[in-house]
Amino acid sequence: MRQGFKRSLGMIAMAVLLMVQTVPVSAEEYSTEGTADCEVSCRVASTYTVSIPAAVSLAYSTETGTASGTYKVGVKGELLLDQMVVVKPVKLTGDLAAGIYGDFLWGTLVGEDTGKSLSVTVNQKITQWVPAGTEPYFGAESCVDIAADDFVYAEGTITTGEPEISDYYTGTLVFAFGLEEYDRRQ
Amino acid sequence: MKQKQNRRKAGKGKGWAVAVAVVLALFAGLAVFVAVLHGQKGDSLKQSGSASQTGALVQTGGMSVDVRAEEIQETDGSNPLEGRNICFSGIENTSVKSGGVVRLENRAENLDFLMKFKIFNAETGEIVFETELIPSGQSVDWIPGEVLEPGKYHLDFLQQPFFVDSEGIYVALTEGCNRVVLTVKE
Repeated sequence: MRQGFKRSLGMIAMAVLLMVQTVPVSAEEYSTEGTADCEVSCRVASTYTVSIPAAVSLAYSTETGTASGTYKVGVKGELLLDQMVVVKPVKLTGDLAAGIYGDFLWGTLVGEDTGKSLSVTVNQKITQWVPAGTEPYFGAESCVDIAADDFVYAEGTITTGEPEISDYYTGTLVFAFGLEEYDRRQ
Repeated sequence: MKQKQNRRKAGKGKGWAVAVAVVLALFAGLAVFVAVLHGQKGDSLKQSGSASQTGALVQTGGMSVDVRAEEIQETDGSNPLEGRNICFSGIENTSVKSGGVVRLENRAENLDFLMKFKIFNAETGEIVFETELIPSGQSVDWIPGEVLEPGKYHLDFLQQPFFVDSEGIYVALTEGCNRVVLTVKE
């Protein structure tokens, strides 16, 4: 009787192992070193979310002859301690070019009726979202702590030059985002 | 006599073991069935080839400034995009086997915004994969191994959101570009 019971237990253990193996994995699998390498046979899904304004309307001022506006970029998610999310504007009509000291970006909007270009400067100081409670090696003014469930926002500003001619100027703003290696103080 | 009793006991043990094994086999079968069903369901739209353009009138957008005469500006009414954000899913640097899947999703938070994915080889600029417009809350499963040879690729996952206005015009919104290093294994 004891032997039978032992055998049954063994078979139960085997069956449980079999059942576990047959359930499909739909989330990421991480290596033990935390390199975020997804070792396959699985479906790769998202690990963080970036929230960006659907559209940015700039307000034109007759006093200054220029238009300006602000936007907010939010990021949420769970990161490993050696990861950070980087979000920055990269295109507006064409590629955004770095300004003189690299603290702002140049782009252009295009007039719908005239096809004329209108120069635009984009400035977003915070571009890096890092694991909460860690201290970066690089300048802390460009980063902010990330949260798992709530968006943490960073603000950007946009200012146009003086338009040569009245028109409705538009452009599609593109933000690049991705996970990068995070160099922190131990 | 004792031998007979032992045999009887052994026989009883065997009977138990067979019964337990049968029950467990049934459970295992059920688990496999559920797993297969789970793999088939979900909101994913299966797409393995490239997709065409929207085929509708598309208006550039994302950023705009109106510096026309006031009479013209007054024809616009309220902006349906005012204060609205778009959520982009970010994925990590990933390795997939030839049959591995990368899920391209339009997050449920995006409500009436449609999302199109264009995946570029960042080094050559070549389009690797393109989806149709994906409604919010749905996704497309992309199998990189179908279009990429085994190797390491720097890919740009360009996410292009659209809003369909009251006149049926597809308004392009702010775009997000997720930079990912993807390794396709054999």
